[in-house]
Amino acid sequence: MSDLLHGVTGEEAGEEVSVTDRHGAPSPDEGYVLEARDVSKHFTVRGTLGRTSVVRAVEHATVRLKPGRILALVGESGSGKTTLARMLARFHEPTEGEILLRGEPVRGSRRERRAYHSEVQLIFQDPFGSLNPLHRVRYNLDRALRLHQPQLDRAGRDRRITELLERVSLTPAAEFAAKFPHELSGGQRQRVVIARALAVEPKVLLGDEPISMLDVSIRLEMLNLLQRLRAEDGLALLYITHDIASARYLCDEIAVMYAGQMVESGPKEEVIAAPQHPYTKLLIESSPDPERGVEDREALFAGADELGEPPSLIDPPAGCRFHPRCPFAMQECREQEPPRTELGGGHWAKCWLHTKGRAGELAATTHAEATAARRRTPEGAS
Amino acid sequence: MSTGFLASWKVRTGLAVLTFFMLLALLGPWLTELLGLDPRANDTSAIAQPPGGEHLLGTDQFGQDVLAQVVAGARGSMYVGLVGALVGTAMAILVGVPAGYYGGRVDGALNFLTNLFLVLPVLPLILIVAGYLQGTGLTTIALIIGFFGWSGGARTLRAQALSIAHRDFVRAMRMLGEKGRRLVFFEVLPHLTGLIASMFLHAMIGAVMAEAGLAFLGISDSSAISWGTMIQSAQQQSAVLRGLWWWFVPPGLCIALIGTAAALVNFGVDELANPKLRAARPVSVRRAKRLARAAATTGGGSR
Repeated sequence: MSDLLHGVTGEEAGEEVSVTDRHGAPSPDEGYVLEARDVSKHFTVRGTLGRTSVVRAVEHATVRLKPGRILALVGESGSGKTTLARMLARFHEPTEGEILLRGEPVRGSRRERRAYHSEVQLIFQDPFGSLNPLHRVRYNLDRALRLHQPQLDRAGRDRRITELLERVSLTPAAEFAAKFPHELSGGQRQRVVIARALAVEPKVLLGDEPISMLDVSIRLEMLNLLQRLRAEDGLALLYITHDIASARYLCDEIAVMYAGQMVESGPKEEVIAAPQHPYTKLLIESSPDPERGVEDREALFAGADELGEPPSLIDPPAGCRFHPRCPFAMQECREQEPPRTELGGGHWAKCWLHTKGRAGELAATTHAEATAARRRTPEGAS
Repeated sequence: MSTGFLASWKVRTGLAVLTFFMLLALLGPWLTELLGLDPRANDTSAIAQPPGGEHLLGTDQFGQDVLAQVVAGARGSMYVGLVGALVGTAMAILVGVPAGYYGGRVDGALNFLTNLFLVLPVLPLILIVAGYLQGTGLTTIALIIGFFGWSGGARTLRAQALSIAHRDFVRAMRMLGEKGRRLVFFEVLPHLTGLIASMFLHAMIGAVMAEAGLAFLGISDSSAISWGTMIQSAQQQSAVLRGLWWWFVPPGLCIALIGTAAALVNFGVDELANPKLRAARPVSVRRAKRLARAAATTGGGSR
C-alpha cells in the first residue's frame, strides 16, 4: 500500500520538475554554481532476523546555490537536512536525482571527486570532531594547500597560512598555527575548520549547522564571518540550521524541510513574515523571541501542550507528511501529496490550502490557536 | 606528556629492568670476556658446583659457567623477543589497520585471514613448521613466532581503526583530497600508537616465552645459547631432581623479570591512553586528605 503511494508521489514529483524545466528555471545560464536536482536518498536498514526496511531520509529535494547568495535550509532534527548536505558533499551518492556543478552532472571517479572538492567544501557541525587532535593547525592548512595549490613552495604556503588565519581572525597567526586543537576553544576550532576549507579556494561552502555546537556568545561572530566570506569572496553558501533566528540574520533565501521533503521555499523576509505552509508557521512561532513577553507566550501556546513529533521516515504518513500534526488538515491531505504552488517572486509552498483557496486562514491564526480550535471541534475544519 | 609518563614508578622500574637486559644483550660478549668467562668452556674440575668461589653462579653438569651462560643467553632471548615482536606487530598493523579503515571487500578478505590465523593451533603448527625447516637458528625461530602470533593484535587494531575511520576529521581530510594511504598512516595510525606500543611489549614477552617454550620442547639450535636452551638442558639432566637449582633458576628468573618489566611499562602506557587510570598527583592527594580531616573535625565538634 505504502509502496504504491510512494510510486505515485515519485511520478508526481517527476512531473513537477519537468514543469519547472519547461519554464526554463534550471539552466547554467542563470548562474547556479551547485545544484541538487530532485535528489532522494534511501538508506536500507537491516533489522533483526534479516528484515530490511528503507529509511527515506530525503525525497525529491531540489537545492540551488548562486555565487554570493546564502540559502538557509531549515527543519527540525531528522528532517534530512544533514543527509542532503552530505549528498552535496559527496559522502553519499543520491539514490535518485543528480547533482550538478555549473550545470554539469558530477560523476564518481576519484579524479572528478577531487576536482569537485576543490570547489565544494563542507563545514561539519562538531568542531571538536572535525580536527585531528594529533595535528597542529599548521598541518591541517598545509595539507590543504599542498593538495590544492601544488605550485606554491614552502614559503608561499607559509604566507598563505598566515593570510588564511588572519582571514578568520585568528591573530597572531604564527601563534595559532603552532597550536594543537585541544588548545583552542570551540569557536577558534570552527574558524580553523573554515580556514582549512578556504585554503582549497572553493566556490561553495556547505555549513552543516556550523554554529550549533558553539557558545551562544560567539555565534554572532561566526555568522558575521560567514557573511563576510559571502560578501568579499562571492562564495555560495548553504547554511543548514534548525534555528530560524540565525537563518533570518544570515541568509537571503530560506528552504524548509519536513520529514525528508521540502515544503516551502522563498526569499527570507516573505517566508518569515508570511509563512505559506503550516509547518513553517509552527517553526517560526516556536522559535524563542525575546520581544514576546511571558504572558504572550502562554497565550500563544495555550491549549496546545502537544505539538506533535516528526513522523517515522521508514513508514511516512500517506498524503502530506505533515497532516497528522496539521491543524488545517483536510481529506485531501490524508490521501494525496499536495502540489507545488508558485506564489510569485520565487516563493513556493506545497500545501493543499493554496489549491483549496484557504490560504487566508494561515495568516489569520497562530498554529497553537488553530490546534486548540481543532481539538475543540474534531474534524470541524474539513 | 612524556614527563607524566616517566613520573610513574611502575614505568620507571619497568624501563630500568628492560634497559638493563638490553644492555646485557648488547654488551654480553664484552662483559663475559672482561670477567674472563666463556659460556662454552667446560671446566672439568668443577662440575655441577653450587654458586660461590670461582664460578659466581655455579656451574652446570658440563662444567659450564652459569653466569656466563645467562649473560650469553640474554642476547639470544632478547633477539628472539625483539624480532618476533617486530614481525608480529608489523603484520598486525599491516593487516588490521587497512581492514578497519577500508572496510567492505578488503575488510572481508583481511578479516578472513585474521580469523584463520586466530583459530590455527599455533603451537603444534610451529612444531611442524620448525621441524620442516631444518636447522632452526634463532632468526628462524623469531620469524616463526612473529608470523604465527599477529592475529589477536590485528583483531584489536581493526576494531580501533574501524571506529576512527568514521570520525569527522578523517572525513574532512578525505574531502580535502587526501589519498587513502596517507589517511591510514597519518590520520588513523597515530591514534593507535599507545595500543601498538603496548601490543609490542606484550608480543615481546610472548616471543621470549615462546622461544623458551620451544627450546624446552627441543626445537632450537643446539649450538645457540638462550635462556630457553639453558632450561631445556637443565631439564634433560634432571637438575630439579638433583637439586641443581642454580642451573635453572637464573634463566627462569630473567624471563619472569622481563615479563614483569614489560607489564609495568604497559601499565604506564595504559594510564597515558586512559586518564581515569592515572594515579592522583601527590598535591591533590594531600589536599584531599586535608579536606577529609577538616570535615572529620568539624563533624566531631558539632556532635
